[in-house]
Amino acid sequence: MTESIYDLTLRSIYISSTAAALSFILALIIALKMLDSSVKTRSIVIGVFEALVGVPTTVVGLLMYILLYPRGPLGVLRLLYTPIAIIIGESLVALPIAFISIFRHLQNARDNVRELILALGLPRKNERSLLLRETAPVLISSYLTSFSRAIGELGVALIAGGGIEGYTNVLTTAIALQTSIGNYEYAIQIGCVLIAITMLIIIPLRMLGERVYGA
Amino acid sequence: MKLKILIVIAIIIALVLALIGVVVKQNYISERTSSFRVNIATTTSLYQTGLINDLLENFRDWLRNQTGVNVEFSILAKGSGEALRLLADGSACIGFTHAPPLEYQYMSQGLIERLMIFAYNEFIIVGPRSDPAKVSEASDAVDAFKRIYAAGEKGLAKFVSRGDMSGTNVRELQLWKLAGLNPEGEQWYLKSSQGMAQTLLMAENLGAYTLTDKGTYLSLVKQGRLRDLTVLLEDPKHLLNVYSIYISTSPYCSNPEVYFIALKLKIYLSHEGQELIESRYSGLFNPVDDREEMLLSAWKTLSRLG
Repeated sequence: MTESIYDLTLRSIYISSTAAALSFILALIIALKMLDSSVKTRSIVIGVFEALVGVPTTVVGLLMYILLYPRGPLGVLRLLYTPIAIIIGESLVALPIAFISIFRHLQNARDNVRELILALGLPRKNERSLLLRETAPVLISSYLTSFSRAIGELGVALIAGGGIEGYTNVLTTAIALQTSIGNYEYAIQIGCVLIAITMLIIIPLRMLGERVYGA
Repeated sequence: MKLKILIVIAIIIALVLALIGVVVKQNYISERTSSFRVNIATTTSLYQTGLINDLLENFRDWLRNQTGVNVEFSILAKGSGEALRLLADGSACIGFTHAPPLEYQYMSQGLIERLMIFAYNEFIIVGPRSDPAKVSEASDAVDAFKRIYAAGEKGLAKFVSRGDMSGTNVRELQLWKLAGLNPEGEQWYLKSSQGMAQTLLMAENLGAYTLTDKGTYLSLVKQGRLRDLTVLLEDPKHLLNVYSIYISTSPYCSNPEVYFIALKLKIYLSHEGQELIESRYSGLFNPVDDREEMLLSAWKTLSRLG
């Protein structure tokens, strides 16, 4: 009746890493745009994203449901209760935190990069590529932040994904379902796996990133 | 130097992700989309006891043997209130619920149609062994609720309510209404807003009373999770718990495949399904057998009590 932790884990990693990648790319594009925009628009956009960081994932889940349910605006796509619905929803969940983290890193590095370009006498058009190359290691940490936000969220996975065994059930929905039927021990086991995954993935990568950055 | 390490990291990450993606896609995604899939919304008590999985798995094999048709079920375990909402939206096409007043409401709006009543059992009032409200001496369920209210007001007893418009919660609210009392907002009246199992465990830990379906209670007792909580009152007249199956009338469910599955499900549940409930779930659920008339009239009475 219950799924193996192995299946749950693989599905969780697949869904959240895709969601994190989506939100990372989107956030990077917005952040690069924001670097060149006026101070006023910048502070408005950052303010909006900062406010969105704390939005409950259940609200995003409900939003996804309203969009995707059969009579909803995107109902024809038949995405409700599929892994894709979770991927889209989770990327929305992770977007604000990804944006804020990416933007901060880019902004911090920009002055250095500008000086470098002046000092080396490089053409101005190299600024963006040099900026990305300089910040790449810390941008990895931004990706990981959105990954851990995606893998740990429940609202979207439960409402837009449905927690269907063998199909859309991920670690967090499995914890919720097992808890709801009183199987606390199994729920805790899954919880430990969830914590272990985030640690196993994040710590080594962060250490690598820091070594490169510090070198 | 720096760049080289970076590229290596990037490639490793990309490879790992791609690998995971391929594995998952092959093992978990493609097989699902190849056969026909029906969304089933079910009340948690049927999920908790394992009945729904058992029935649907059995039905799938039966259908495959009979007609060669392959069907996959996506089981959404929700409370009856949410399950009915999903049916009304067409998000799920077939639903298993036990909340007559809500079912009646959706039926009269033409959003759902009843396939059949397929099982029944009883709600029971459970509470601490010490029974401070003397519920075990009550003449019926309404009297029991009056006793709990009186003891609650004196600070002797607590009551945990589901508070989620599930079938059990709907019945509980009916009983308060029949007793002419309104516990809403009282200090001793707690809302768990969670599933039946969590609510029972909460009642166990708080030494509180609660209303529960027999199936969930017995399955938790069997797992050894409830030590203090005991059955204090059974009252078949007020506490009959009727499980029905509904099909959504939403245009998103009105395709031939769904009707075919629903029709076959009805045939299966009238015979083989009843035997399965009888043989594997006796004590937890009762098959309908020839009590259809009685259950239907009980359902009608219950549906108008809300």
